[in-house]
Amino acid sequence: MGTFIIGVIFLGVMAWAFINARHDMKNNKCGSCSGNCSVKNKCSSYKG
Amino acid sequence: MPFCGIHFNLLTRIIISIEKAQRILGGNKMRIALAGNPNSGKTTLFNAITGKTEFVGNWPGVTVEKKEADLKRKYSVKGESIRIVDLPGAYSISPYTSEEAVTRDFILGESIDVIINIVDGANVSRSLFFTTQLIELGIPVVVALNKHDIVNRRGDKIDAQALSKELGCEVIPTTATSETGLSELIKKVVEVKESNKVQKALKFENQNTEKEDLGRQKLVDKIIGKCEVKSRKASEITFSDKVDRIVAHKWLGLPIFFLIMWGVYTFSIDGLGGYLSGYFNDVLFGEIVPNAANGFLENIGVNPLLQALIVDGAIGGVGAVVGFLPLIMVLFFCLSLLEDCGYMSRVAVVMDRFFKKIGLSGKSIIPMIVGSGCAIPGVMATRTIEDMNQKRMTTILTPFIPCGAKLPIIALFAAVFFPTSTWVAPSMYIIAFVMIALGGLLLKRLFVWENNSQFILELPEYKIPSLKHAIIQMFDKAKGFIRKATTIILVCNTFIWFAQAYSWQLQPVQDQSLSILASLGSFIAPILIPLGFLGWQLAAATLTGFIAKENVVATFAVILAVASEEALHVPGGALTGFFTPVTAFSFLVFNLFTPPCFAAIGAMNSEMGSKKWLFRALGFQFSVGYFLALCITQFGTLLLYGKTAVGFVPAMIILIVMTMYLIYAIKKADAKRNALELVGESA
Repeated sequence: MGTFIIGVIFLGVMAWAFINARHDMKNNKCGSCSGNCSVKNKCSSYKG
Repeated sequence: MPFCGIHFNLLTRIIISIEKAQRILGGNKMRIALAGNPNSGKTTLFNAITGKTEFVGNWPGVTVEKKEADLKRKYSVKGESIRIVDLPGAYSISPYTSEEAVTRDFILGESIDVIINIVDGANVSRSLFFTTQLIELGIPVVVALNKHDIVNRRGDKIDAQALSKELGCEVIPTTATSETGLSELIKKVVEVKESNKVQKALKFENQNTEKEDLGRQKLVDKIIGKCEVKSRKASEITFSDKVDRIVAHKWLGLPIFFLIMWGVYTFSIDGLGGYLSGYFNDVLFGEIVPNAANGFLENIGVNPLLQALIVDGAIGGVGAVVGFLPLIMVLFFCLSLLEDCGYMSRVAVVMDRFFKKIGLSGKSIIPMIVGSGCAIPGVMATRTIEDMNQKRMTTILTPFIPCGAKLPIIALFAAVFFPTSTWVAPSMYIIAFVMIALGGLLLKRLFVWENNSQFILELPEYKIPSLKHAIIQMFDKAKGFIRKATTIILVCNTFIWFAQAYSWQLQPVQDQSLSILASLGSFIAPILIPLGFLGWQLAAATLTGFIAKENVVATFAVILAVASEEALHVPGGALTGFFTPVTAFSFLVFNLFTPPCFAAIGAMNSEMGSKKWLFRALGFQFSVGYFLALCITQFGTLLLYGKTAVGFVPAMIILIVMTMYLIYAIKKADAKRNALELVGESA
C-alpha cells in the first residue's frame, strides 16, 4: 500500500515536472531556465 | 445650438459610460504605454504600478522587449481596469537599434489610449526630443517627470506647470523608486482619457524639412530655458566625475574591474556563499533530508527500488544542485548592488577601448554582464548593439561568461580539487575575458566583417544601491533556480537514475557499466579521451550538461552516489577517482567554453538571424572549449607531473589538424577580404 501511494505521488510530481520542463524547453525565449534567467515575461510571446 | 451641445455632451457621457462598463467587465481595458529614453526609469515605474518584479538596471538598454501587466489595485481609479505596457527605451521615434524598433512599431501599430512619457528629470533636455515626437502622434500624452529626488538633491528646479503649458500636456513630478507621485500620475491619465482630449502637435522651425531634427532640438532648448533652473554649471566637477576619473581611468579601470569581480566571486563562492552552500550540501542534502526520506519510506514499507529512485535519483540529483542555492543568491545580491550603484555602466566604458580593438563595441559588455546570470537574456541583450557584425560576435562570445548554471560545477570542482585555493572561481572569469578578447580577434580574422560603428553610452549618476532591489533580484534568481531544479533537473535525474540502474532489456543491473547510461556515454567517450576525460560517466555528465548545465553536477551526484560510499562535495571525494587536479581544471574550462544549453542555443538562433551563423557560432564555441581543455590537460600534465597524459598522441594529431585548419580558414578569409577590397576600389 505504501509503495502504491508513494508511487502515485511520485508519478504526479514527475508528470508536473515533465509538463513544465517541456513547456520551458519548447519556448526557447523563456527557455529551460524559465525565471532563472530573468527573461520571464520579457518574451515577446508573453501576455499577462 | 445649446440644445445640440446638451445632446452632444449627453451622448459623449453615454459613450464614456459604455466604454468604462466594457473595461470593468474586462472586455476593453484601458491601455497605457510607458515610453521614454533608455534608463529614465520606465521599468521601475512599471514594477511600482503593477507590482511586478521585472529586471531593472541602472544602465540604458535593460529592457529589450515590451512587457504587459495590469495596474495594481492600489493605484486603480474608480474601479477602472487598466493594462500597462512597458516599452524598451528609445531616443527617437525613428529607430536606430532593434529594441527601439519594438517601441516604434508598438506605438504606431497598436491601439493605445494614453502614453505615459517618462522623462528623466536629471536629463530633461535630452528626454524632451522624444516627448515632442510622441506629442505629434495625436495620442494623449502625460509626462511623468521622473527621478525628481535627484533633481531636488542637486538643488535644480523644474517648473512642471510651465513645462505642461509649453508642451500642451499634463506633467506630473514622480520618483518611481519611492513611488512618489504615482497615484496622481494615474489619476491624471484617467482624467485625460475620459476628457477625450486630442493631443496637439507642437510647431517649430524647419518642420517637415530635412533640418527638422535641428528645429526640434531648438524648440526643446527654448522650452528648457523657460522651465529649468540649474543650481550648478555644466562644467562643474561632480562627485560622479571624480569617481569616474579613477574607476573609468584608461589604465586603472581594467585592474579595478578585475579586483572588484575577484572580491565579489571570492566572497560568493569561497566566502559566505560557499560556507552556506557547504552546509546545504554536506548537512541538509547530505544527511538530514536523505536520512529523513529513507527513514520515512522504510517505515511505511515502500519497495526498496522506489525508495532508491526517490532518494538517490530525485532527492540526490536535485539536492546536489539546490545545495548551491545560497552561493547563487549571495553572488547575485553582490552583482545587483554593483549594477544598481552605477558601476557596471562604467565597466562598459572601460571595456570599450579594449573591445574596439577586437571588433566589439563597449556595449558588448552589457550582454556579458547580464549573461553572468543566464546566457539567454545575455544573448537577447545583444539587440541593443546596432552593428550586425558586433552583435553576432557578441552573441558568439557572451556564453563564454560563466552563467549561474555553471556556478555549481565550478563550486563543486573547486571544493573537491582545490579546497585551499581561492583563485579557481575568479580564474574562470578571467579566462573567460581573456578568451573573449582572443576569440574576438580570431573571429575578426576568420570571417569577413563590415565596418564598426561608434559607441555612445549614457552614464547614470552614482547612487547608493537599493537593498530592496538587490534582495528582489536575489530572490528572483533563487526562484528561477529552484524552478529549474524541480522541473528539468528532476526529470533528467530521474531518467539518469533509471538509465544507470537498468539495461536496454529493462533488467536491473548490478554493474553500472552494463547500463543504458553507460552505453550512451561510451558512444561519445572516445571524443573526450584526448582531453584526459576517461570513462562513460564523464561523457554522460557532459551530454546531460547540454540540456542544462546544472545537470553535470546532478548527474555526478546520481551516478556516484550509487557506485560509491564517498561523498561528492568533500575534498578528495568520489570525483577524485576520475580526475587529477589538472584534468579537473580542464573539465571546468571545457564546460565553460563549449556551446551553452539548448535553450541558450535557441536564443542564439533568434538573435543571429541565420542558421549559417548559428552553426558557425556553435562550431567556434565547441572548437574553443575542446582546444583549451586539450591544451590544459596535455601540457598541464606534462609541466606539473612530468609525464604525458592519456591520449597524448591523438591529442597532438588533433591539435595539428585544428591549427592547420585555422591557418587555412584565416588565409581563405584574407583572400575574400582582399577580393572585396579590389572590387570596392575598382567600383
